[in-house]
Amino acid sequence: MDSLHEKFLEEVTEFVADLENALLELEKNPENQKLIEKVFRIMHTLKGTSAMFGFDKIGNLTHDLETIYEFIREQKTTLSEEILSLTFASIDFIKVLVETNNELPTEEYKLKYETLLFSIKRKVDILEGNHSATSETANSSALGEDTPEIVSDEKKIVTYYIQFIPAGHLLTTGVNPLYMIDDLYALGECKVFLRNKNVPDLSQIQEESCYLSWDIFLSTSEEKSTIADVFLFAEDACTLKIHKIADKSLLQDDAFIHKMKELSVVTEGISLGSITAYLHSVSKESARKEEKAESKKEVVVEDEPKVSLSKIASSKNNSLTSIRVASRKLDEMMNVVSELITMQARLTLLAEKNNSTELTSIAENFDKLLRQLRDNSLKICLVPMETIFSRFQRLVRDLSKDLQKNIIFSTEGGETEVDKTIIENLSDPILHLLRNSIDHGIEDAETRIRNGKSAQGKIHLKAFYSEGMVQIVIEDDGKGIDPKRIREKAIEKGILSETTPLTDKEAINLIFLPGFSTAQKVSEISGRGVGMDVVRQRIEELRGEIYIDSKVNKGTTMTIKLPLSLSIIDGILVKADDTCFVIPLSAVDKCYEIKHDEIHAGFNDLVIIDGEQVPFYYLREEFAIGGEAPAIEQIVTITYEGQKIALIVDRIVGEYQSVLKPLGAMGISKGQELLLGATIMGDGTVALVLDSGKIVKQLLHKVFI
Amino acid sequence: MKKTILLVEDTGSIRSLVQLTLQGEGYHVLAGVDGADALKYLDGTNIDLIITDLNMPNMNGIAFIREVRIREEYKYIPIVLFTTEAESIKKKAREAGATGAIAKPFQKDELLGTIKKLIR
Repeated sequence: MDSLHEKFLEEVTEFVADLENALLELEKNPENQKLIEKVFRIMHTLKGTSAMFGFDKIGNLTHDLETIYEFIREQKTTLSEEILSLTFASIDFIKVLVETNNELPTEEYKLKYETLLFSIKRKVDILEGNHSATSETANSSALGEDTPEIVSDEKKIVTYYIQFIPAGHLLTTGVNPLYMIDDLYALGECKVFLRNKNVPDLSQIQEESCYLSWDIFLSTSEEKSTIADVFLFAEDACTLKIHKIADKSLLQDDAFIHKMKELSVVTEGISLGSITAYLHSVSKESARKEEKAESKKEVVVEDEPKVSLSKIASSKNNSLTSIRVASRKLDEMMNVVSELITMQARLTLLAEKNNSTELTSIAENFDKLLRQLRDNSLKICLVPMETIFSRFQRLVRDLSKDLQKNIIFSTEGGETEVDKTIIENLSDPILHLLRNSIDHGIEDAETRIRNGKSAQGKIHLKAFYSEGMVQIVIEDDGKGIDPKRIREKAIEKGILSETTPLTDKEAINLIFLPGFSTAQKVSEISGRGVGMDVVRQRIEELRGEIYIDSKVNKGTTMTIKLPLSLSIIDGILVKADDTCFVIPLSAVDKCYEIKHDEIHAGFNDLVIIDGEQVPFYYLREEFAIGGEAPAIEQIVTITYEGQKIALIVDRIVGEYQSVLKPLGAMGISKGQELLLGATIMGDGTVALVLDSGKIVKQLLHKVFI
Repeated sequence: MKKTILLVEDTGSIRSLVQLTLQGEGYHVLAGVDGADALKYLDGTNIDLIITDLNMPNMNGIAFIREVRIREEYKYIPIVLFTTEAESIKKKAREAGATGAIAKPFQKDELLGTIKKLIR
C-alpha cells in the first residue's frame, strides 16, 4: 500500500502543476471555456482521490472550489480576481499538505488554513444564495432528519410482507433479481412465493423480459430502510411494496405459511388485503382461546431466549477472525519451536538412558504436543500465493503494453498456501519466467495469426498442492522452445558433445545451465544478465526444483516444485556405522531387510525387491564410511518422480523430526549436493539430511533434469 | 470460477487501489485508463461487471456506458459508475444504462457491498 501512497502523491503533484498552468492561462484569458472545464475536472479528481487516500484537508479545500468552478462552468458566475487568488492560495496549501502528509506544521498554518477554508465556503454560500438552495443542502438536511432516529438496543423481530414486481425491462439494467432475494435471506428468516402467472406461451416469450414477480415474507430485526436498500439497483425498474404485518415472526407459524401457500395458487394471489384479513381472523380466534387458557403465555416466554441466542451468535460473528502479526515475530516463534524440537530429542534420549517409565511417558507426551505445536506454527507461517499473484497481473499488463503484445494473463489457485519465507523469495524467479514468456514466448499478433493461433496470447499461472509439495506452473501458448536449437547452441558452447544422446525434454532443460541464453536479440526486458541458471539456483535454494516442457509452436510449460516448509522436516533416522542420516519422510516408500552377501552378489548394482529390479545406493560406500558392515542390512526404498531406488543402510532407528540447519561454511559444504543440510541430535551429534531427489537423479545419471 | 471485473478509471492511484482491493477479494480485474482505452476489452472477453469513473479524458463514463450497451454481448452486464455528482448525473447515467452508482470517496465495504449486490 505504501507504493500506492507514493503514486498518489506523485499524481497530486502532477495535478497541481497542471492546475497552476491552467490557472495562469486563465488569468490572461478568463473566458476560455476549455480551461475552465479543465480546472473543474482537476478539482473534481483531486477531491475524490485525496479523500480516498486520507488527505481530508485537500479534499475539503477542493470540494468547495469544485462547486465554485461548477458555477463558472455553467456560466452562473464569472471568474473573478477573488476566485483566482483563492484558488492559488489553495494550491499553495495543497503543496504543503502533500509535503507534510496531511499535517499542518504550525499553528500559523492552521489558522491560515481555517481562514482560507472559511473564505472559500463563504464564496460558495454567496453563490448558492444567488441561485436558490441547491440539491446538496437539501440532501444534507434530509440526512439530518435521519440521524436522530436512535436505534434501540433491543431489536425486535417483526415480519414484513414484501411485494416485488419487476418491470419487464429489469434484466436489461444488469440487475439479477435473484441476488436481491438472496440478500433478503441474509437479513432474517425468509419465505418466498413466486408469481409466474404472467409468463406467456413459449412462442411469445421475449427472452430479455422479466415475467416473474415475488411475494416475500421476511422476519427480521432490520429496519424497513435496510430492506429497501436491498432493492436499491432495481428502484427504477420495479414496483416495490414493503409492509409490516406483525410484531413477531410469523414464519414459524405453520398455519400462516399454509394459508399463504394456498393464497399463492389461487388466481387473486397473495395481497396485503388477503394477508391482513387472515391475520385479523386469527388474532380474534386466539384472543378467544386465551380467555380460556393462560398457558399460551409460556409460548411467548419461550420466544424470548431465541432472540437472545441469535444475538449471541451474531456477536460471535463480529469477533476477530484474523490478526496481523509482524513477520519478524513469526520468525522468532519458528526459531523457538525448532530449538524446542532439538531439546525434545535430548529429553527423549535422557528418558531412554534413565530407564524411568515416568520420565518416558512425560517425554512421549511432550513429543506429541510438540508435534502439534510445530504443525500449528508451520500453518501460521503459510501465506496464500494470491499475495504475489496480484503483483504479476500488473507486470504482465505493463510489459505486454511495452512490447505491444496482446496477452491475457490468468491465474488459478491463489488460495494455495506456502511458507512465507518461500513466497518472499519466489517472486523474483517467477517474475523472470513471466518476463521470458512475454518477451520470447508469446509472438506478435501477426506471427500468431500466420501460425493459426488467436491474435491474443495466453499466459496462465497456477499453483496447487501435489505429492506433498506445492507446484507452480506457468503456461504460455507462445512459440515454444526448439530442442534442436538448444542442442546446437549447447554444442557450440562446448557444454554438450555432439554424440551425447539427449531426449528433447532433456535438451530443453539445458537452458538452466550457467551461461546459456538463446535469445538472439537481448532485449531490455529479459536480457538483464540474469539467466535461467540463476532462476534455478534461486529455486534450489528454496529446496525446490524447476523444469520446462515445451512444444514448438504450441507453447511452453514451466513447473516449479517447492516444499511446504523450509526449516523443519519429518524424516527417518538411519545409521551407517556410527554416522546418522535422515531421509525425508515424504520420499520414503517402504523398508526391507537384506543379507550383506546379497548386495554384491547381484548384477549391475540392482537388488530384487518384491520381484522388481531396483537400483541401489549403498550409503556405506558412497560416504566412505569405515567399519564392518552388519550381516543383515536394511533397505529404505525411496521414490522420486516415479523412479524407485533402494538406499542400503546399516540400521533404521526410527521416525525423526529434524530441524534443518544449513551446512554453510563447514568443510564438507563442497560437493554436498546430495545433502539438504544437517540436524542436531539429542546427544549433540550431527545427522546429515539426505536430498532424496538428488540421490535418485545421480544414481540414474539424469544430470540435466 | 473467478468473476471478471472491468475497471475504467483515469486516476492511476485510485485505479491501483481499487484493483488491488478487488484482486484481494478474489476478483479478476481488467483495467482501462479511460473509456476509449477500455473499449478494447469489449471484444467478446468474458466480463461479469463493469466499474467506470465518470470524468475521464477520451470518452467519459456516460459515453462509455452507451458504448457498452450497444454491444449485444454486454447488453445485460451490470455497470457501476463512480461519481461525486448530484442526482441529475445519476439519472443521466441510468438512462445511458448504468445499473448503479457509488459516490467518491467511498469505503472498501461500500464498494464490495455494491459489487456483491450485483454479481456473485
